[in-house]
Amino acid sequence: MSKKFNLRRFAADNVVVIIFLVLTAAATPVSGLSAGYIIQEIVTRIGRNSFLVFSLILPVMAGMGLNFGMVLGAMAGEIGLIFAVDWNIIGVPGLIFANLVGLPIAVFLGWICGEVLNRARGREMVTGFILGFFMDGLYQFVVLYLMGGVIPMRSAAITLSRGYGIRNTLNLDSVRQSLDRLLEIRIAGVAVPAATLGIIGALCLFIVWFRKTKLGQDMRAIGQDQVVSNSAGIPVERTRIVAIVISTVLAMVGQIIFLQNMGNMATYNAHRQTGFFAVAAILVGGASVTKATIPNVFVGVVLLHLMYIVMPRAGAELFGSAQIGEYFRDAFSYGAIALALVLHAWRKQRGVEIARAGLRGSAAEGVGVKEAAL
Amino acid sequence: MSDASRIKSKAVAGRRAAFRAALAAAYLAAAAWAFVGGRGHTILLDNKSAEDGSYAAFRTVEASVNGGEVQQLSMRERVKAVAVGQRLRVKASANGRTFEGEARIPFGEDIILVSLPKLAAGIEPFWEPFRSEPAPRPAAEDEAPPSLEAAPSIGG
Repeated sequence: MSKKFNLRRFAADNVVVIIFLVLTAAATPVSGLSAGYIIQEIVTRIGRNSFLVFSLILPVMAGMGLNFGMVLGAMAGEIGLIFAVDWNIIGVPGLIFANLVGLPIAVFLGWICGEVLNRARGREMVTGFILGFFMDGLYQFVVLYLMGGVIPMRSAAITLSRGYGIRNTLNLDSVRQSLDRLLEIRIAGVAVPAATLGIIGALCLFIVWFRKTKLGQDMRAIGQDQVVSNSAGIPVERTRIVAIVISTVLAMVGQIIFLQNMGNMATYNAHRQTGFFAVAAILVGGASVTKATIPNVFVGVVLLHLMYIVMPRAGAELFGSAQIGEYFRDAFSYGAIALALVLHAWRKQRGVEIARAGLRGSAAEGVGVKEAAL
Repeated sequence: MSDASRIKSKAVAGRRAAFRAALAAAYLAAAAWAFVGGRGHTILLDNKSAEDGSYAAFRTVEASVNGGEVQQLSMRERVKAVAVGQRLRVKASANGRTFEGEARIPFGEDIILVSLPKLAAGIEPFWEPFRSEPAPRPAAEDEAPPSLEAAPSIGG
């Protein structure tokens, strides 16, 4: 039996997407940017950012919410890139080398993160968020004091003048856009980084396949109900750790793809906003703390970046200052996170109330109506 | 546990161990390939005469490294090129003649000096490792300390 389309329910489910759609639709003509420019920027940014956002899907599937701990993976990717630059490994082999160096670090950090999150059940998001800050401190210690001192570095160009520690900004010339330019196709004047998009496509296929595997099914079951899953013999804790490890590894690869496109790296800051950005993107795409899909990633990256592209120009046109547009875009990005989290909490609360009413057996028909409205 | 299930679990464990070993071997092989095959080396193409007069510089010479960009050098000039991997192939042309030379860059060497007149004169080796004094590090007061503040704007 097909369900009847309910406009109110559709709007309630997609309120964040609708807000962003309205905002960008209003700002785009004001910005005065050409369609060609916007399309080119969007294509570039899909290649640059999507992989990072995809790293959030598996923990959501396993019921662990949005993995703010993905910052750990980003740090692992940055360490890999530091070594690739230090050894002057050029082009795609440099990226592969960075991935291979970052992989064991990401797995280790992911495992630690998973263990910690298992002990903070129900508060995974805030725990992952704070864990990111803690690990950031360790990262600063390793990169600022151990590299060049305890960990030998070959290149004087990347170490600080005192002989140890890595410089503030790392020039990634040796790997700059090497993946994007590996296979660049021009379609109607738009440069499409086919190799990068191909890797993102492969990741999509992996996620689709992974959902159907035993491990994927276990994750989905755990996402639904941990107690029932445990009773059914699913190793809940181990599966949750695996979800976080995969997420951390994907974040590592995503950060390397992101930085090779940017061409330079703020050694001590580049990873700090990674989690915020990825979470904002997936939420803007219509995902929630309990449900995230592949289309959510693409819709979110496109909408969020469309706003990033047009807002500064719209601000400049409207108020004579691009800075105001910059403030807008940051405010709306963080606002999207807040709104999505509030909506999730509200829906959860409503669900509990309806379930309670159902148990009381009062107004069964009314409950049905309320459920439809949720 | 029955014999059949014990044999089966042994076989599974064996398969799992073999898979893990193959994975580790693939990881190491990929790392070695990226490390050796992807390393960039600075190649200094040199067009200078020998002090003992055994070979003379060209007025102008064109040269490329590993099929890369062709660069033109005047007399007593030195230009920089990049070679990826351990293989070095230099192609030069001057006075209507073309010269080619190949070499393997020793592992651990970062900069190689290639003498084009030497290559043209057929003197081997036409290259030598180039080791310069390390560039003076900038004084500590000239260098901004690492900033842990001012994270980049969201989304990059």
